[in-house]
Amino acid sequence: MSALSPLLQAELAVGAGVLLVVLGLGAMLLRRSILIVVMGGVLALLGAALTLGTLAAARGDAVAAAAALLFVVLASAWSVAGAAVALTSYRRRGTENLDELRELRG
Amino acid sequence: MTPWLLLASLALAVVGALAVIGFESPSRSAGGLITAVVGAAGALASVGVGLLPALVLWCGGTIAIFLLTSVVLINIDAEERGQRRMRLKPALLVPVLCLLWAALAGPLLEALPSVPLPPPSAADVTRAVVDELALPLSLALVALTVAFVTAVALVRRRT
Repeated sequence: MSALSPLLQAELAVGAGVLLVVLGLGAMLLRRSILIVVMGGVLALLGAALTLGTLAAARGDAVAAAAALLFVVLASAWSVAGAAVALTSYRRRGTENLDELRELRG
Repeated sequence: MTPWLLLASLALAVVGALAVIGFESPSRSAGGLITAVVGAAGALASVGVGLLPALVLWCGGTIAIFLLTSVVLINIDAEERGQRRMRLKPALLVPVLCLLWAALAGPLLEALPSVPLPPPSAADVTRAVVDELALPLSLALVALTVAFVTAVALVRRRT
């Protein structure tokens, strides 16, 4: 495992962080359930925090690490609001499927 | 950095993310999100940045368990089964996501220094939060509070 230089490790971590962002966006585009869309958003923000945290560690930049905290707080706000919308739409319309909600709206 | 811990954590995070997007059952997707959160926190811990891993584990774990509870309350497993759960054909989305990954990862990888510097400690990160990012973080916390109050008001309102 000594073949993994610190730079290569940082590159792997940044690549994986960007992959989390892309997969999160993919989940938001692909799935119909509001809750899965919310999970995709959380995943994308988590990936952004991982990427920013890794860059902060490699560059010794404390401000970038603090900015990553901002993404975590935003992910919390997003998930609370999204889960409330999903619960409310399920109680009122009997579904939390995005396409069915669009059809019900007309 | 601890190479084994980093590689295992990154693998855990990517597997969790694939579970979120791939599983039919939303409760399994929520399990995947918990896995991704644990993986991301482990990766941040192994790169050595202070304060961030604990907060990612704490906040991210809370978010994931909260979403899992919502899935259980709604009980959407039955209507999410089968191809109806997808809005697009996955085969169409994969090349777009690959291109997006390449477009985002390229500039970020170039931003890495050739010789990594020592990572900031928890005290450095806390000082940066107070000195540099006090206003944006305060606004984000206000947004979180507004989201909580709105969520409670929405859920308690009678139809």
